[in-house]
Amino acid sequence: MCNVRLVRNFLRLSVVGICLLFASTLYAHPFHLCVGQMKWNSESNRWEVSLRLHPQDLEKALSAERSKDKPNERVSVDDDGFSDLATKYLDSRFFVRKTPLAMNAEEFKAILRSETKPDPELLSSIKWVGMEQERGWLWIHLELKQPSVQAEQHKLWLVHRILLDTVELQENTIAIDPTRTEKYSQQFRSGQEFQEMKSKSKQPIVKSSIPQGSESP
Amino acid sequence: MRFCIGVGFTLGLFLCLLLSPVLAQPFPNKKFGQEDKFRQLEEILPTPNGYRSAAGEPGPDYWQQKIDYNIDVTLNDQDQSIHGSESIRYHNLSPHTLRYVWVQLDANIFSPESDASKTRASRGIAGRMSTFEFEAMVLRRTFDGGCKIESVTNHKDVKLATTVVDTMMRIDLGDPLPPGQEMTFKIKWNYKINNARLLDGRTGFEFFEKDGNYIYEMAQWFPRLAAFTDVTGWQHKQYLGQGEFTLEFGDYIVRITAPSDHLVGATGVLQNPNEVLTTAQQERLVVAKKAEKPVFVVTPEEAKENEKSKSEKTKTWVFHAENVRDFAFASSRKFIWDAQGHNVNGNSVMAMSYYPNEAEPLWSKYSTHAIIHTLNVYSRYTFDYPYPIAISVNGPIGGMEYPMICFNGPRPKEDGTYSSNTKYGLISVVIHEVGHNYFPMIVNSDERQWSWMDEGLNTFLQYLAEREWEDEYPSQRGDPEFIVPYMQSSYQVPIMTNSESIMQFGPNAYTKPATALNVLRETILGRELFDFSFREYARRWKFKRPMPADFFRTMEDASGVDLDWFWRGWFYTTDHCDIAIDKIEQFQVDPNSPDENAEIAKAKKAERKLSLSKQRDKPLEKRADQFPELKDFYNDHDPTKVTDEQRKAFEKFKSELSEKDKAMLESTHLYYRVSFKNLGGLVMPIIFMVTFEDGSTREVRIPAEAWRVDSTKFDTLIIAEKPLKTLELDPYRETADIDRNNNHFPPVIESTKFQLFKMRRNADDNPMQAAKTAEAKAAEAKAAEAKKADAKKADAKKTNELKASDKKEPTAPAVLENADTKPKVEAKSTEESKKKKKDKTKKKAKDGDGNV
Repeated sequence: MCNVRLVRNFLRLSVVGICLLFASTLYAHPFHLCVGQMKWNSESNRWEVSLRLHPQDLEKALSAERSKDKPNERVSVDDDGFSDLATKYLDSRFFVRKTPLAMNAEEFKAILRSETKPDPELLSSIKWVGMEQERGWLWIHLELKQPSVQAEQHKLWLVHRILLDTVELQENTIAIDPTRTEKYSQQFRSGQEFQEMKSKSKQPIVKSSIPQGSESP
Repeated sequence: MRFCIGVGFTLGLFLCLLLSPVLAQPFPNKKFGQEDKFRQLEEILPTPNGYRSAAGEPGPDYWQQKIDYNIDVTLNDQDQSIHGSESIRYHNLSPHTLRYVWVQLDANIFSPESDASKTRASRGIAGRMSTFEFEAMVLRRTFDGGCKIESVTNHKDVKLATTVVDTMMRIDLGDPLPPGQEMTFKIKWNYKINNARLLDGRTGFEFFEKDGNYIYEMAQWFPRLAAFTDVTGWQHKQYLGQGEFTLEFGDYIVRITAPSDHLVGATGVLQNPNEVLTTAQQERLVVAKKAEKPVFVVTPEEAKENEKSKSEKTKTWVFHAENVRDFAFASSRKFIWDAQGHNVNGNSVMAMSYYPNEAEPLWSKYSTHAIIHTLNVYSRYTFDYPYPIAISVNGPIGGMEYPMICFNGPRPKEDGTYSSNTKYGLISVVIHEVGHNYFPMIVNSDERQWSWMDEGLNTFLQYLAEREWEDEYPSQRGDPEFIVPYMQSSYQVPIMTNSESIMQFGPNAYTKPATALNVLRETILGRELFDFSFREYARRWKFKRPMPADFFRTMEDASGVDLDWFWRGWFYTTDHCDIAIDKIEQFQVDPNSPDENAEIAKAKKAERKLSLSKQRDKPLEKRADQFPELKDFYNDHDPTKVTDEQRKAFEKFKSELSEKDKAMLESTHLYYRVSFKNLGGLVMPIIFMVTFEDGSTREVRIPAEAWRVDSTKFDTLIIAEKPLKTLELDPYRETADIDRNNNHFPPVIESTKFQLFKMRRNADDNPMQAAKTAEAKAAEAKAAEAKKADAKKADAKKTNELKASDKKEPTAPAVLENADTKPKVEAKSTEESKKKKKDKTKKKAKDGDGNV
């Protein structure tokens, strides 16, 4: 929640922030969208993720993050440490988490709310691959290492809350390609920050996602 | 002619078909299980009538209202408020008697009690929030910027009864207004202006803390008569924010009283320059009218100086505008002002830009240029720009359009530098917002109902204008390939969705219709047919009010092409394009005699490996061998043996062939049957490129009508003289096909964005280093070459010396010496290069890790 200290910190940020106009707010209908593609690579046992969003929206979110330590600094995609900051930011907002098979969405929501330091074994880990700008948009490329699961015992949830807590009316969609024949897409927005990952035949994902020699919990 | 299956090969791709729901037809066909994608839209489109014809043009009974305004308004810079009074002359040109009229009070959207405020979706506030955002959030619930109606009276100053319903107000006329009659009534009002940086909208002020000044961009600011039409009756859908507005055309006289040091730019022509402009400004305007480039009417230095004045006096600016559907203005003492006259096919237009020093150096370089460029390109594709003024203003509004004036947001950084995103963002938004003069300010579509009719059509023209700005212009909308990530999503609503209910507004109302029209122009109709039809639509509906059906019908009427399938797929459904190559079969004419065919069959049989069972059964003792009497005719009969009858029949067949038939029989043509599957549901032309074994290519374009009976699969035949090597569907990426992995024969898995990036990154890891390495290698090679030349010279010298000494010593050792030296040098180079390669690999791995 917003507190007094937060207000003071961000006041300075806002002086900078209000002078800027986001590309996404040009035209008569501002919109904030992150579209993505997520494809399973069975050779590397990783999800290969590409996200396209407005660079200014991400800069805004990272500036808010940085303001905890450096209230006056505004983050730019051109900054040297941008990838480190972005990785840290994305790590807590874009991940796959496993739960027992029986868990429903309400229970998962409660877990997400209450959990401050989740067991790393339950979560995916993120690897920054790079970024590129295209026609005013920013593409971010990531690899996601999925937690090991067993189809009979676990289910997987994709949490995608990038910018949802910073940018009003933000909408995130992602096309997921777990196998060549099972493409589907999911949408995320305020109030709907996660979705159960679905796959008609979970085998291809689940099998390939278990690292050799590891034991499923 | 006889055909037989030759070498057949099958390409197995997706087996699962996405079954389209059997929708959009009155009686679903439960037997075929397919929606009729080519069913005519007449069941969906409104029935043509006297107002709107079946051809898509205004009918003989078409009518629209006319409303003239005479407004006095005062802008109060002290408390950021506005006070106005207006006299409205309503011309009832409808065939209906009106007992009341509806007025839009759009400022009411800034009341905390408005439907827009109450239904605004809140973002999560669990995360960190800036005070800026926090203030905005609180302000939305506390700031009352709603319109305060002071009085509504008729022309005799008799009070008229009113009822306010959120952003609408009904005025009961007292005496009914019959068809063909007009009446005048007056409204007095005031309201507090919103801070547009905090309470985003299409209007408001921006405050500059460092100099204490404001920029006002005033829009949707006065009580405006709602549209009354043959389609909706009163268009009094509430203003919730997304659906902008639609109004009636009319003439305006507006007197704007503002601080005397303010510059005011507005819809319409300034009527009293002598009273509000300095002599110098008036002279500069005269120069600007005939200038080749934009001329400063107020320079950056003068604007800077003006910021300091804070005059308490006022001036009244008088503007006159004819045949416009709205009126907006901007006012500030911070404005720089540049202008350039431009002739649009005989119409003299003054293109002008107003912006603060904060917008420099970007604005003086691009804004007015972009206005003129827009007028040139748009006028070519629609009609000549009819107004005398075209203005672009920089202020707090990111991008919004009104007749003759628009507001555009991009600015450089404080140090005057700007990114390419900002530069092209500015050019694009100026093109877009000035372009809105055509759609919907003149072609007056109903934005409150259909956003795509102005945003989509305008974005399409914006794309064309950007193509003509410079090569490789980074257009964000219009290119089919660029919309693929959106089209892949299953969370979509059709383009034909009300403005307020649109999900993912940008891609839906701007990008998808713009892309669809681009596809229609480039792939379906061709530029000539499309441009004629589009221009015809603009001509027919210039200063009139079209509806979607009028657009769809005109495009078909003028092009002579049935496009119902196209509107159905792109505008009424969320289908996407995903056409796949299912299989390819090869056929060849069989010219052989029965004996030749028997030999071929025999050879084939011999080539075929026996099954394991047959191999294992071979040693078994057979009863028929033990008891030969069990054998009869069938044991010795060879069904593949050619009979004399067959030989005779073949000879007879050949002898009866004409020369033409013989030539056909002996031809070596190959016949390929290519099967396609439609996995995405959207019917689109099938475009593919065949490459033959000798490297030659053939482009095939099959119209979308190929899917008219069965919209899920289609087979076509290719006749070729050479064997087919590869086939690629949609080679020019013109259909927004969302999955290109099934577009190739033989199968090719196309790289994802991720893989492409990775490949590119590896290739371009360090171009400077690569250039250095290449340079070093070249130097090394040059040195080796020089060494070799020296060695050769030395050899020659030695040989000559040897010759000179009467060949007293054998030559072998010298040759051997040379032979030994050379491999050693090579071996060293190889080792060095291996070491270098290893080092480079190590470095790459490190860089890779460094990125983690």
